[in-house]
Amino acid sequence: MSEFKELIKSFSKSREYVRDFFVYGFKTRDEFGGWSGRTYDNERRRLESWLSGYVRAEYKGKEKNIYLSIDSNLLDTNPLYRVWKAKSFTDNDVMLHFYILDYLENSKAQTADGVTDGILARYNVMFDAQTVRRKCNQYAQEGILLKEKRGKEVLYRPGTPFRKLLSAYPGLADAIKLYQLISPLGIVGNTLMENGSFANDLFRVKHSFFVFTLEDEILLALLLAMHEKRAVHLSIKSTRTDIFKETEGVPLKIFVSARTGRRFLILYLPDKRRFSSARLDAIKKVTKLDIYPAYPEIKEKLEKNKKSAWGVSFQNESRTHLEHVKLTLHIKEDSEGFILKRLEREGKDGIIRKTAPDTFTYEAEVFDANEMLPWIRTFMGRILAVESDCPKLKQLFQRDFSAMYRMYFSEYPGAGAKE
Amino acid sequence: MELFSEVYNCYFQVISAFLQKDRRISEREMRFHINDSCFRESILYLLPRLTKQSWGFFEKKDGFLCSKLSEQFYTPLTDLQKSYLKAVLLDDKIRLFLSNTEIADINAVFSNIRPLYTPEDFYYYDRFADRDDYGNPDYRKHFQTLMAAILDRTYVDILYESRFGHRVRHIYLPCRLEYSIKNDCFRLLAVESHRQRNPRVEILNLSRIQAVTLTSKTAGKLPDINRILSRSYHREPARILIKDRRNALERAMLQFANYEKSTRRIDADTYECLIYYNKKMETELLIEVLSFGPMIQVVGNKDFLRLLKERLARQKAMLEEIS
Repeated sequence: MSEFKELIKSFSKSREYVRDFFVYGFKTRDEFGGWSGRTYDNERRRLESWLSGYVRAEYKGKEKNIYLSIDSNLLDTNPLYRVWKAKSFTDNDVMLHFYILDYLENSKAQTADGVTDGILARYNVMFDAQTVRRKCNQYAQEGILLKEKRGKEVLYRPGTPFRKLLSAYPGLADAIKLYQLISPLGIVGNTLMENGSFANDLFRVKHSFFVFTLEDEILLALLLAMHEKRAVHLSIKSTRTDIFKETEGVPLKIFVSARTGRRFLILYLPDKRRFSSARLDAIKKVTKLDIYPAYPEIKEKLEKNKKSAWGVSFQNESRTHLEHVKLTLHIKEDSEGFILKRLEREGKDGIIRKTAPDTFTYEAEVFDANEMLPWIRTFMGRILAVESDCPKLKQLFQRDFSAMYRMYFSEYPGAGAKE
Repeated sequence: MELFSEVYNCYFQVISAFLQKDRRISEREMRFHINDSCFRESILYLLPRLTKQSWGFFEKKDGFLCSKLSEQFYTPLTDLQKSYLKAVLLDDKIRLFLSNTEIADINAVFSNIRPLYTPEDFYYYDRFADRDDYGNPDYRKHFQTLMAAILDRTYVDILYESRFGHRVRHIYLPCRLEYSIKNDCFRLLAVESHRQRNPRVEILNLSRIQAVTLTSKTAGKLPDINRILSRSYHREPARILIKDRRNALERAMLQFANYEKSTRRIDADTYECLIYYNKKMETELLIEVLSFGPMIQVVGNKDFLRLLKERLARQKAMLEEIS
């Protein structure tokens, strides 16, 4: 039986737990499958420790149900960033970090042996020279120390303090206050705020999905592969069935939904000669493969194709090229201009025409008309007709509307509709 | 470039803060800061190692812990952090904060570093098209004036064009700038006066601000807008039932993840989710609920349910009229 530790070596298992607690927020001990009760207890204790202040508890009979309650509109930073600050370390790691940096800050560039001797002389702490060299090299690789060769000697010195940059460019700190909340990999911006000892006292964010940060390690690996124009091997765990599948492809772009809380990797599958997508939260492992020679050509093809993708689908069931969708809507011209505005700003360059008084049509050509259904439903109450050369779209709309109507106006409504 | 690295560990951060700011600190203060910035159980591990000579960063003098390291201690940036800064410099909103010359200068400082990502790496496929014009010099000026007003707690005089084209002039105390990822625009969260007993948060679109000037009036303290916003939420949340079919539960939980909510299972495959919202969020929440179709069912509150039923009744009438 292992002892409980607040800090962890690897993030992948905790990522699943935090995600389940944050996204679902209702799973009790028995509902978490796949791991032992002891693992659940440890992970729950860790999560309560990391995110204390945001964890709420409810009791269902004798069962304790904990969940994360986070209102992203009211926060200066993303509380889930805290999980990235829980990496375990050894006594040597922490001591070498502070002694090496402090010693070098107050000396000229030094060799690893010079640093070892200097730490002993200045702080009366003795380290093995090999250990110091390893740490100096690790920090040089991370960019914290600069490494230079002078003759036969390898010298180390620290990089410039961030505070110098901040005082030369005061607008930079304010920019970081914003970007740490809204940008991809905002966690890195958050570490910059900590490094510069400032907090966000200016900005709030709306329509942000804080849970995205749990995928940041995967995103980072994908971005590096994309910039090197490499193919990747992915281990993907189905969000529905929990079954793992392995796939290889060329990562091209990250498609982000500002509404549904999902991010997708768009990749090209050379053997099938088509684009495909994978949810970032389903990708569990990324392995870089060889450089893909035709990378610029397929990237250009994606840029052309993305205009006709409503979401992340690049093909339809009938394998026809594009599907035509036409909505006819009742919109009062004198008082419902905001609906026209919605069509313009959300309709992705679809054509809007007035066809009769208070009657407008919206037309678009997309790869997969079915992807438009959730958006079409949002105009419920104004839809005169849904037409498409994808017959399923109209059927689905009518079926859903009938089901909803029954659900709310029948005498004995139940949750959800019968299919 | 490691993201999950001990360099970013909160223990390292709090020790750095002690070394830089609190050169002479009591154990009580140390305890307070660790509890404030680390995890709930960090104190048990960290405090003895800082106070009992284990790592040797501090020595006890006159009942205080005094740093043995230099006052100028700092942690240089990692390549990951430099690379992130380079990425941020490529975003079009950066010109709200920095001039072209400043951007070029910072880029030159990190000339050997590649940006962590570029705007072309991402595509927000359902983002609204009518985004704010960040390149507009007036917009930039207004943005900077409002930032200064928030930081200095200064009232501003705003000339604003309403949704219906009316121009109104008003004095506000700016509290925060809110960025919407979906709309790609900024809004100002402000109050009319910090002295009001029950102030209301006014929300102004930055793109509709025609002019903004600083006044000479300041507030001693900004009001707690979280409290004001939380108080504006309806007492009774929207109550929805989700049948876990076609992945509806996972989809709904993700989509509503940015609302304060609580969820519980009520039978084998039905879940109840309470979503907290205010009047200003109502239409948006209704649209989001409608997008799920019959996969979720609203059962409360009464007003929210009524709005939904009105839409369905109107849709029924419309389809009947056509047929």
